[in-house]
Amino acid sequence: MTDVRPDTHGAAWRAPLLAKAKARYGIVERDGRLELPESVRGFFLGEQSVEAPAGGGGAGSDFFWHRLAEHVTVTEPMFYRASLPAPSIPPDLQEIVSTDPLLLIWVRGQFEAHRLIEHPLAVAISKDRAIKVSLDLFSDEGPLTPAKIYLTEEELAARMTLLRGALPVLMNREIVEIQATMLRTLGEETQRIREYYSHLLVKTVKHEEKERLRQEQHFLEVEHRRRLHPGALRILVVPEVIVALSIEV
Amino acid sequence: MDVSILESHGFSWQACASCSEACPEGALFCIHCGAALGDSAPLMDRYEAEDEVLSEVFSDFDGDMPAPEILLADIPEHVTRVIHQKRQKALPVDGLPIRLAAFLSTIREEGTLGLQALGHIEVEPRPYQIESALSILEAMGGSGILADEVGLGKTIEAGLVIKEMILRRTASRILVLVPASLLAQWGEELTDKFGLTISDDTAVETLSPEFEGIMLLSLHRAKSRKVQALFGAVAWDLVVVDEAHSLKNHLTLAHRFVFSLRRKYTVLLTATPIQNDLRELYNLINIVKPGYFKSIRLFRRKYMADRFTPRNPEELRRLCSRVMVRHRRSDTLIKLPPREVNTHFVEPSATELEFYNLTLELARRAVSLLHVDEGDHIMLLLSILLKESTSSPEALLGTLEAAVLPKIVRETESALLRQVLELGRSLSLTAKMQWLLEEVASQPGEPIIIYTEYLKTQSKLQGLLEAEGALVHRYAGNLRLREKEAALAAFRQQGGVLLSTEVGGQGLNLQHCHRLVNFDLPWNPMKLEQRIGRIHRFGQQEKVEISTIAGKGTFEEYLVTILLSKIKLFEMVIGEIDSILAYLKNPVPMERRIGRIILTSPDTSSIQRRLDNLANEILTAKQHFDRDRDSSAKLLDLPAVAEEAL
Repeated sequence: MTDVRPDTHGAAWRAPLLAKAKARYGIVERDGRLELPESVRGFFLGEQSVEAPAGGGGAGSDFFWHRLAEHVTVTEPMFYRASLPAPSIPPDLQEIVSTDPLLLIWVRGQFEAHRLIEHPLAVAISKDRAIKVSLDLFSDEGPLTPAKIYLTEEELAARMTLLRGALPVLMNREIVEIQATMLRTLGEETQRIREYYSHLLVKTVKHEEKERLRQEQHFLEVEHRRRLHPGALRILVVPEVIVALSIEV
Repeated sequence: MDVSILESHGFSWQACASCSEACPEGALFCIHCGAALGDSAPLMDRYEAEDEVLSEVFSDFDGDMPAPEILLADIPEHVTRVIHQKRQKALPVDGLPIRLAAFLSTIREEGTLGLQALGHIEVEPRPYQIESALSILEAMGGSGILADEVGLGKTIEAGLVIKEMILRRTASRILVLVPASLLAQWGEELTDKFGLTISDDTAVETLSPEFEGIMLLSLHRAKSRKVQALFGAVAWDLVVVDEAHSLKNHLTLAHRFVFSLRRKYTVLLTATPIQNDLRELYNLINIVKPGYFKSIRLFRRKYMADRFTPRNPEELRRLCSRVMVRHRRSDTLIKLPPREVNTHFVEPSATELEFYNLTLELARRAVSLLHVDEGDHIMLLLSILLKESTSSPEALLGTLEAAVLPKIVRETESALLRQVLELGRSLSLTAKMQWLLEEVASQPGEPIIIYTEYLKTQSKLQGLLEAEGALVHRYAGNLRLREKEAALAAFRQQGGVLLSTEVGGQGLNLQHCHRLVNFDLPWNPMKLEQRIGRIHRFGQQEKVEISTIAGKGTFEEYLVTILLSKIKLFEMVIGEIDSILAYLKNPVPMERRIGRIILTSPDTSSIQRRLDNLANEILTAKQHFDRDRDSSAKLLDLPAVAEEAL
């Protein structure tokens, strides 16, 4: 299994992104500020220039990076068709290549659990298999060349079905960890609620008030289960980038 | 499951005893049916040993972990069209690396969160505001108290939380409860800055349990007996309460109402989470995390020396910082230059004064003719007429000529109405306009922002200023977004005069300008404050000069000299007046109260006396606010806490 490398996340991508954006969109750095061309300004609330951001993972420059990413997302296509010479096949793909085109798809897994969490994932899908590949596959254009690849609606649907079926396996590690934490949190919070109400109920004499408190406690526990029950784990998987890839034999 | 997939990953696999499907070896639970696999037994034992409740919770599963709900979002249609293209051109692939870099750069680090909302809003939040939103969404699991000092933009932080939850489809039923005085401001901020659509609040009476959207309304209205049951029937995903110190007393209807709402996530906003009595802190935290301090008896024993003095303050602070985000002004590195405020009282001509007095007389006669009360929309219309009369004759004539007054008023007071119209038409230049022209001409190169509430006034001023050779950029709500952006860009690049009618919304960065003129006065002090906040903000380098023009002998003069001066509005930090007004016992918005005073007072001295009473009322609210702010600071603002909270 090819695991996700920790250094392929967030902050590590910021400096390369800016370098690429400077070259591609004509952003110029001068005296610690970035001068934005007309086409980019709309994504920065009309500013002509902005302070050059720190490349780290802190929230201080999050706004800049998200705006730049949004500009790229709007400007560049989500889907690419490319071919790759056989000698250049990356190790990640060697076990899955065939004469049929591959579909590579980068997704954002958004977990709604005891808190909001997200995990990115890259998957290569052939006619009958879906495997996890490195997120930084093709982060440089390298030997990719434009190609004409035709995928019918049925073929695309079949591969998406394959992906859908494989997601529980591909994200199993995260799912297991998160569900266990949800369960533990549910236990802790339920205990708190019960202690709280047991103190209140001891002090309460009136029958109606006791009933009201019991009902309130019931509702609260239900609400906590609605949020923290491991069965309530919801994962929204959003496709971000897609590549149809053929291999030149 | 195709075993070859598992093997191709390098997984060894095992068959689930329950459903016989293949699962990766080492997995704790079956990925198909959720049943516990071999290795999960020790984990279950560990949980069961932890405590009784946990074991009870766990026993529900009967050893099986339920499968999560995994939704694969559709590929956008415009993309699938390209994928299915039969006649193809070779598409360039050079955009792939940057597209991938852009996607991956928004993932902060594995298992944490990048705020997607940042790419989709019309305001640039400060870094501490982003930290606050992340704290609520990550560390606090979606529920917590935003307790920044006043003026640091808690609304932006809450807006980020709301937007993020919507983008992630975490929340689709959202309830935002605010003081009545802040309804319009919240509506504008959520709409203009966050691009959110607010549901029509007239739908409140017919609210169904299936409601989806954002419901924004006053806490006062929501808790009313007439509708509170309807709110209780909705399973809210997110409930946000602004000025949440109003929930401090657990015996009040407001507290009970919010506590009883069915809700997954709760966000409270208050600059004064701790007031006089420590029990109130307990009550607030109990709303976001019920049972957080177990019971009031334990809380008293562990953390209260008496009602007003904390025991174990260090530990209490530590516990608070897990459910409460608080920033002080000093944490945010925002140091603003001084503010110089001048009011210029100009002498209206005899015709102007007569025009103003007759308009006031007309409005008062309309009140007595129609027997309107303060809630009536006619009262609001009459208030607008009064404000327009001190803004410009053009503004008032525009409204009167549109025949907006009820027929009975137009017929009964036709002579007076004709007199007002004639006087207005005869006035081509008012004393305020004359002063403004001189002011703009006095510093020709300096950028200046001039605010007016009315389009007609704006148009008149534009004509006058341009005739004098000034470079004027018009900014108003009726412009298209592109036109607004062009106006602002031109003002930034070329300087000159920015004539603006829009007060709220839009994260305008106009710090290059440090002069501002209030050509007319909005009766809502918060609007005045928002105007000032556009230039007296982070990034401003120079002393900010604020000029307000008022005609002598008009109610504008009394508003400035009695109300605004007495409460020292112009000396307050941005955002302070919002919190102070929320402390008023009377929930009627300030504009309506001022309108009522002017329209129902028989003479000038009565107007002055009643405005003075209103100022005293606000000062009392300010005293309460100051007391609570100090109490909060005393307990929460030790350096250790600030560091932890950050």
